[in-house]
Amino acid sequence: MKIYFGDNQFLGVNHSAGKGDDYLSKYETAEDVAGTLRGAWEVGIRDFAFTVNAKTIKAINLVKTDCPFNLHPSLPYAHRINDLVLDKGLAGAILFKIREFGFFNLFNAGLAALLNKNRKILKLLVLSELDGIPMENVRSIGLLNIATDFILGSKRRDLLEDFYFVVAKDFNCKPIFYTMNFGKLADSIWGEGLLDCAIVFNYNKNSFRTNPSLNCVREAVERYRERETIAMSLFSGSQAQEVCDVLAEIPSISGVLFGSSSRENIKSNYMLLDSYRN
Amino acid sequence: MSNESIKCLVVGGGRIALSHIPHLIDHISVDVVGIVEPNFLLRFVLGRLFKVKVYRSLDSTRHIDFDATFILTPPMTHFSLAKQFIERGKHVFVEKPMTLDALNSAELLRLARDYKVQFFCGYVYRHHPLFKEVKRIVSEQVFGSPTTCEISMRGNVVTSNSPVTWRSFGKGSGCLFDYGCHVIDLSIFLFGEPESVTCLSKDELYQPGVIDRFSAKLDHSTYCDVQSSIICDWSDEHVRKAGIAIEIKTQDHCIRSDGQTITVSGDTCVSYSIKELDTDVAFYLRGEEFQNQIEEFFLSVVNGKADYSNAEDAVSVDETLSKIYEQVL
Repeated sequence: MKIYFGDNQFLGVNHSAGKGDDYLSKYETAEDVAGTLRGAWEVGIRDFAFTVNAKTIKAINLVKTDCPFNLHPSLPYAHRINDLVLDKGLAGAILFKIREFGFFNLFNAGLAALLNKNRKILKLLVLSELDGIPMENVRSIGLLNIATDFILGSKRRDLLEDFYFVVAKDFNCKPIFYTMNFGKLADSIWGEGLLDCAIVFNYNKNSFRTNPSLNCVREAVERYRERETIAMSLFSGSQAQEVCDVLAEIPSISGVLFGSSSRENIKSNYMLLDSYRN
Repeated sequence: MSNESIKCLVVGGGRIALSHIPHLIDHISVDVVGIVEPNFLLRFVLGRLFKVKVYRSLDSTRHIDFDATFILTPPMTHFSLAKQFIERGKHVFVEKPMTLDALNSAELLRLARDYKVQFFCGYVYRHHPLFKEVKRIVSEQVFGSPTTCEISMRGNVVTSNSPVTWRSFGKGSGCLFDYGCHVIDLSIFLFGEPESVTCLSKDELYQPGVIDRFSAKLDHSTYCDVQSSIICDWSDEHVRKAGIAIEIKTQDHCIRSDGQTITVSGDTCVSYSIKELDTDVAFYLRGEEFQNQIEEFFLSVVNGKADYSNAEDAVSVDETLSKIYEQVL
């Protein structure tokens, strides 16, 4: 079972307004983020999963010599897109991204997209999002749940397949899909033959965002026990023993993703997961 | 209708459409038959993205057979669009606010009753698991009977550099008709129709006639003797992410919620987060509230039993908005 260190605490997302603001203050600079990353490295964590954004990328570059994490960037950074749409409107935001790619690149990719071949334009999008990341350490590229579930709900599995092949072939990395609709996505991805990728999903004792139900998620993990499954939100409102109990419900799980800001919590969570897998 | 899929036409392809359309396409009982969007670029992108037929205008959809429509256009268009759909016997979901004139909203509600179609307004926060829990606490008086309430919504989305859109001029513009209607709806959701409303402040920061922040007091004494203060500001530079905060006082307790947690202080002190509530939904995107909202609308359509409680409250929101808009300070 692989242990991934996540970055929600750096971005202040999925926290109450006050707590989120506290985290943002704590991680105001890249050096602040780098400090926590060094702490995670020291306790033994080797895999860092993060949302692409300038501050985290800068922090990764600050620590890359001493702490050469296996990197697992995921995209897109929803706040940046939201700000762009708020600033320019939906049509304006589309035009802005079009201009960003440059005329020649866009002409080629746009022409292909018109013929329903989306991979060129997708490659441009991924490339623009990964700017500044030390690619030699990148092991996987993830599609965050806001995008994965949007595409899944829109019944555009072909776009998920395009992402899968762009990441695997053009970037030589493992595709990772984040989702809040695990069973549905697993059937759509693994059930339809896209086998060499991982899916990250919520799993916790409170059944928080384990849609459509914790039982359905558990059954899907069992159904796809040969595939790479990564649980997140595992520590959500749970004590150490409860985390172990929850993990015992899904023995085939391949990995766990957790985030924390304090060195003590990072260490204790890592030790707990490490002892469980051993 | 119970065994057939509900054919649904979406009118308007702006930002909010991106939240609704995947839910509609994913829904097991719904078939999206078209999207109407006048802007060429948006129409092109939406058609390519969702693989749904797109139309430039309503006139070009006359031949389409559908049962329900989602009106996701700017609010100044809601009345005429909703009226023509209701009069054609279509079920209507309209984004908030229902219209810009409470008399028009009341007329739409009357028409919906006459034509026996479902009519629903998209106040999404009342479908949020945590605010539903606040409603339960208030209704069941778990921590005593509420006496005062403050509901605020703050964001940092409009600055002097913001682009000019339909939100920037005329009636229907400004924070009042954007954040304001959400907050007023939550107050009505929690405490019922207000007996009176007093506008306490209105500030136009960037353009004359566009309210960027305001405060008001709602007297809910008819139903539960609660005074509710509402505060809205969409230009607060200290705010990182737009959000709603509720603070309710009872004789012995103070109940606070920010959409992620509920904290109760006083004789009893408890705190719990959204993670401890039942949040399971059939499909999740951007929050449970979007799926809950759509489920409620379609359940009424499938059951053939129109429920107008949501629309009645939305009319009440529009009456309150008009009073605040028109009050001279």
